[in-house]
Amino acid sequence: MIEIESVTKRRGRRTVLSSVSFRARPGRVTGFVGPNGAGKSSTLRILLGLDRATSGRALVGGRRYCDLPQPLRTVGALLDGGGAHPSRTARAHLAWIAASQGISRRRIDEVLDLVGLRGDARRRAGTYSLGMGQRLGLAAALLGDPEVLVLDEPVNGLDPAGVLWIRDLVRGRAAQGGTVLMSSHLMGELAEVADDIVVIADGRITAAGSIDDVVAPYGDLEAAFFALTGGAR
Amino acid sequence: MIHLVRAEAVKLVTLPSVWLTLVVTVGAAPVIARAQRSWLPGESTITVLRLVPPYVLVGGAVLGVLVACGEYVSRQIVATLLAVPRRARFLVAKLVVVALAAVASSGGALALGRMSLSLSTWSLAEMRMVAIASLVHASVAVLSCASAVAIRHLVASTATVCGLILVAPVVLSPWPKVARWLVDAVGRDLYADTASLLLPSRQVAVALVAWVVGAVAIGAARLLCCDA
Amino acid sequence: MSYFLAELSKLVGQPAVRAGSVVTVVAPAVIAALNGTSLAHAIEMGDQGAFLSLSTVDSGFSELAIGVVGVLIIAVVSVSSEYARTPAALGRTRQLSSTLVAMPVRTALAGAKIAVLVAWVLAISLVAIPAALVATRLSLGSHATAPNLWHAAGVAAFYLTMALLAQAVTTVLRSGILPLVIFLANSSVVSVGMLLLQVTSWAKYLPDIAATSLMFTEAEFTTGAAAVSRNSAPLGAATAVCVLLGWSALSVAVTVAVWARRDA
Repeated sequence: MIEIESVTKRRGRRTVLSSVSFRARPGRVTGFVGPNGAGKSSTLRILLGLDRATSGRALVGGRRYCDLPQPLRTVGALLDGGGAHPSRTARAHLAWIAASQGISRRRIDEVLDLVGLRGDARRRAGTYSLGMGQRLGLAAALLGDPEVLVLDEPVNGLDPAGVLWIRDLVRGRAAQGGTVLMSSHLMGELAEVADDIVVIADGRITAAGSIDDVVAPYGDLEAAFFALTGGAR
Repeated sequence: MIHLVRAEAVKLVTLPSVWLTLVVTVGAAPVIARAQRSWLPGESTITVLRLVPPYVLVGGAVLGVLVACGEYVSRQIVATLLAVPRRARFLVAKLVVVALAAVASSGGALALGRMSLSLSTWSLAEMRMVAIASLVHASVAVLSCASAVAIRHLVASTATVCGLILVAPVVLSPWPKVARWLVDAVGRDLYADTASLLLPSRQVAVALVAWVVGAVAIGAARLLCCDA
Repeated sequence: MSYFLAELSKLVGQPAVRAGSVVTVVAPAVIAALNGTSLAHAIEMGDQGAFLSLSTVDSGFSELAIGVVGVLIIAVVSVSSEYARTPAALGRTRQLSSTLVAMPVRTALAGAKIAVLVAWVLAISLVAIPAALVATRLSLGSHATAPNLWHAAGVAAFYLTMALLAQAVTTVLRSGILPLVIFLANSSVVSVGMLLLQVTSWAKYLPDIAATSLMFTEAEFTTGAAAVSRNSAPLGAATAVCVLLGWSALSVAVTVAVWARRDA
């Protein structure tokens, strides 16, 4: 379970997040939506220990991310495309991540096969297309076979086959009892996979609940999104 | 912690620019040693060898900057902190690996430099000089890495570190009482012959440690307290 | 002209360029003032101390030589900034893409980059050189020697040549770190040029070594660089000018050729 409890984040005079609270439950896919600059990435970065909240707390399985031993075995995250150094090969990028968690090198080949990058593993990450870079980030997220997935716009740059693959991945994880929290701008895609929806606008949560409950007054997810974020800049 | 050091070692050895730096550092030393020998044909081997470490020092500084700034290229720091959210441990692991790489490259460079000057048996003074110079270079590499962690920008880090190690000694040369406390001067006093030390070695060693600790403190503060 | 203005706008907007400009303008003047005060005191006491000599003929010019650090940063950043990538969330793009889409005529683009760099370096030289010489004169007081204006021009020529050379190397390597390290090292005691000067007299034709003939008197060259050189006779002024022009021309040619031919 992912728990975000009254998280507030200020940067100078600007309030980026204002008392954000929601939960992502195990066995369900939670979609996290909002306009650009609403605070989605900021929330996820606080959850994953990259940024500090001004107040409030963000927990995974009742613990802070930084308190998890070998965190990639619990949480697999995709942010900013994965952050591989452009001069390093994909295999080398996954090798150091695996080494940091005590994960066997065999697992590297498994995740490369999973994301379809085995043939390009010895190419430098700097030569990758946007979609390939995204796949590499997903490979890193899956390296520890985690039960929790936190994905920030995972279908960004992927071709239709890749989008379908992501859909199957997240639904499969949830079906196995895992927790999936994913942000996306593709309402149609999210409507296919999400069980729960959290809507954020201007740093505040405007709706949170099952997708049926949130969407019911508006007809479809896109209409709900515009209605619930319509007051945002 | 062993896992973290291993991960940092994998990162270091899989970066082509680091290999280039190490190869140039090690390969340049014998060339520099021969060039110095051609200018000082009558001097002892250790006197000539003592002129090589300042050049090798630059390699150590560049190594530290490259290793640190590599985290901020393409935002690799995100992947790093996701894998190792305990930032202090990550920093320690990185500095340990940088120090070890610097010791190895410096020791190798100076050994090759010594062999290019003479194939005779090493004297105790020469072994002492190479060992201490390698530790000094490791200190400079750690200082550079920590500074670059604080600055997070490749050009700014390079300019700052090179400014401290290369330009400041020139600028402050008219004021030797100040210049002798700079990193390069302190390091040089440590591996120089004891008879010609300007300052007692304990004071000099403390000064070098102070430089390193100061840089690490600033780098750690930036890493631990600021957003990624 | 539009290319020139665009490149000028880009250059001025870089924080590193502004920082480098401040270093070039301010640092030599400050150091010259401090050095001048110390030198004046040493002359009055008759104690040479740490100074190589008590001559004030080249006071101000050795400090201006240090100002090349800022010029190198400006030249390197003017090119390396094109290759810095944004994060994946912002499309993993480089400024280079926008530059080439907006200014597709590559030779004109290269020409504009070179022209902007030359203009900027000249402009800051016009401020830095008088500032350092005035600071020297004020701090030395009655001990000051009238500055040699040809040496002042030599400093500007040195700045321009090193800037063009650093720009060319960065253009070839697409990275700022190696040229920055090499050229900063060359400004220090671990100068590759000085090292080579100990081995062969051909090193006198390296740009930083040749430029010393235009910036200092022979006495300064002799006590400074040639103290470690087997050939104490520096290049003549005319030869030095030709050497710097040659290096500048080579740098410009390399920069234009690389920009014109290489894939983005």
